[in-house]
Amino acid sequence: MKKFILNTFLILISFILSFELIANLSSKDNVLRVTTDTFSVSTSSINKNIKDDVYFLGDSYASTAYAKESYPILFRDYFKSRGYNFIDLTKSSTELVDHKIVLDSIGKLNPKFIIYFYNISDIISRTQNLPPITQKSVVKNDEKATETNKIHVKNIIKNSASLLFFKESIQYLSLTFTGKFYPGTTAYNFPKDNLKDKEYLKNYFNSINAENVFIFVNTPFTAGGSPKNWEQYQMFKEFSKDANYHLIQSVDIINDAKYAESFRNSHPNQEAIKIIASTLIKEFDKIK
Amino acid sequence: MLFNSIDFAIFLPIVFVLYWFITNKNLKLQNFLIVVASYLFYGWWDWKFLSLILFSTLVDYSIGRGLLNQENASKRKVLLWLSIVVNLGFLGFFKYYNFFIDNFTAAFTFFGMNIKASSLNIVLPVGISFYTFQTLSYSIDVYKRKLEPTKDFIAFAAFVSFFPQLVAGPIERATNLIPQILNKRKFDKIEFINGIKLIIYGFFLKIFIADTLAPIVNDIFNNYENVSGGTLILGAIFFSFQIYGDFGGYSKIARGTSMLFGFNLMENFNFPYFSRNIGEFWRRWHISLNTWFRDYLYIPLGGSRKGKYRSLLNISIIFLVSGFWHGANWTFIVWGALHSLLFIPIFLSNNNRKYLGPFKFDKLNFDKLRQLFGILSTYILVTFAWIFFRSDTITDAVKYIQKINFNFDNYLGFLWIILIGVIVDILIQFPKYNKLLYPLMIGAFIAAAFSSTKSEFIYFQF
Repeated sequence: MKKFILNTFLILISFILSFELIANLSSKDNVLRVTTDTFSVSTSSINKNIKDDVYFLGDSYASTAYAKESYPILFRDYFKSRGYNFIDLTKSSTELVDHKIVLDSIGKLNPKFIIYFYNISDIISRTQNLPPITQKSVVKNDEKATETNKIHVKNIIKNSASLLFFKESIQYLSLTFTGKFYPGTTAYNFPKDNLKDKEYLKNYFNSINAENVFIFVNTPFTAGGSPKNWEQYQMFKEFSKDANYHLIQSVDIINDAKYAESFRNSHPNQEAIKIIASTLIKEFDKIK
Repeated sequence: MLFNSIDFAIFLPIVFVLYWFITNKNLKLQNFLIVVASYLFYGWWDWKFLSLILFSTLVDYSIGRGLLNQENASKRKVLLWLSIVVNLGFLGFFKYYNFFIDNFTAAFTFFGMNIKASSLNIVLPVGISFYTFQTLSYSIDVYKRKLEPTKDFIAFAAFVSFFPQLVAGPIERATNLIPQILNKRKFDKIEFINGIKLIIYGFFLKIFIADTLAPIVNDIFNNYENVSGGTLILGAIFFSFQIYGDFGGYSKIARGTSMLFGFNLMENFNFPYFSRNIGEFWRRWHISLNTWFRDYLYIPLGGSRKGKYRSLLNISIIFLVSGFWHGANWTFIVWGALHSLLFIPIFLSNNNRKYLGPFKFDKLNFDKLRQLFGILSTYILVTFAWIFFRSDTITDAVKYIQKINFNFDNYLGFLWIILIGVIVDILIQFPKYNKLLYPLMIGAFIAAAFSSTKSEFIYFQF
């Protein structure tokens, strides 16, 4: 028994230390895999032959830079074969407020295609005044810095990779057994907040201007088919009825949590990306 | 099926229970279970390629039986060549067809002759290089009368397809594995525990070391033109440990798994980065392949018995062939050639068998310091050669090397992973630390499994 307790203790200690080490290394040194210039460069070089342009916008659910064959790669090949100029404006960590600025700019030119990947968590960070990207980031960082100085211990706990893992495990179990995110977490509010801002979202989607607008609503892939039972699912269904855009929800194509990157990572994995891309391409094919 | 997958975690206990508790009273049934489990293990990846294994099994079994009853020397030779042609024919087609077509076309174009030959979209069957060499060794040993061909087809099929080592070795000799298959195995608690320990060690090497370093290595090698020269040095170091963790880890899991079923496979990696010269490195790295080439290529070519120049030629041949075995790319051939250039001076100075025992971590004296210098310099040379092994083309490798300098700005933190790996590799050689070491390794690889992306074993592609 004593031996068992000692071994369990050693395993636990080693687990926590290794987890913190790997998380720490990955966050600090993961420089090469993050592209930082795509968004600003692309937005500043809007094409002159706008009628042949296809714009692709969204966050990390769209850029999928971690995948070997990401959406931008698959879509670029497709649109290139159709003779279009494909412009990838996707960037991880961008939100609705960022996308709106770009959509407003390119919408004025009435391009041929806009493909917009809306993430259901986006609405939570929406603000009334839609502030510019840089200003918003500065405010957030300042807040974080102050918090770090004030409550050091709390911040250590907050940033602990092993505690985050524990939280994500609970989230996973909650999704598996109840079909809902764990009460009290940010993700738990996703369905509610989308409903709360129904009118805003409706107007926002309607304001996207292009000859063909495709909106793809991403729900966390770790949730599997659960989002179909959320009220917001019906809301988006309603949106697409009389709209002048095409709206497809990820849960209509992928409804199994095995298509998530991992049980901790709610992004689509390579297989899901391929399935979704081919489904969307079939939709694009219908457009002449 | 991958060792580091949920599928295998379910598969292994089921096979274990069936093996020791259901079929244990009947050896034939137990061997049949091995074949079924092995085919399931392989078919999990692509069942269509099971036909290749089955065909290879049928051919070599029949040739073995044919050789038993054949006394005519020329007919015996024909049978041996039949085995060689069939086995290497499959390997050549699946692995090297496109390489030869592309290079012939390029060569003809270079001389102004345009020929039309298109490459094919060929999928390389996982593990073909391993089981092909294993079955070949059987036919050669039977031909040389070193081995009595088995009558038991199921036992032979189990030898060819034995799931722990089917897809990435160790490349077992028929003389070692077939007698174990033909004899009744007894469950041995100590062997079982040793097997579990090897599996833990293997998972630590694979998941904690190799999988943690894999994305960083990919980043650096894929973006070598845009990173600092110091990062390129780190990239090569990380790759050297990634490939060791990956392949060494696989071999340990394979050996450990075999021990759970009462089998002893040959050691494939014996702390290669503690080698004091290149000669020693090649006795510690991928041992099963290197001894295969020694026994079935180097010695038949004359080995070192036909004079100095012939020996040098033979050495060059086995290193080049060994490089080419790893893949249909000039980078592997250059890697092999580089190693032959590093090995030849050691051979000529009669130092290739200087260090036969392991490096001992005891009192530090002048000789120990000299040996430590040997370890460091051997590691640097080996790591330099890995750049060619890992690069997509020779041009990439040359450009990579040209860009190297000592301006370190990134990824230095990952040296912690390597340091931990080295410490574990040292401490594991001292049994007194094992009680602490194994629980720590379990915690580390579980943490890494939830942190990094699961990846296939590198050697599956060879």
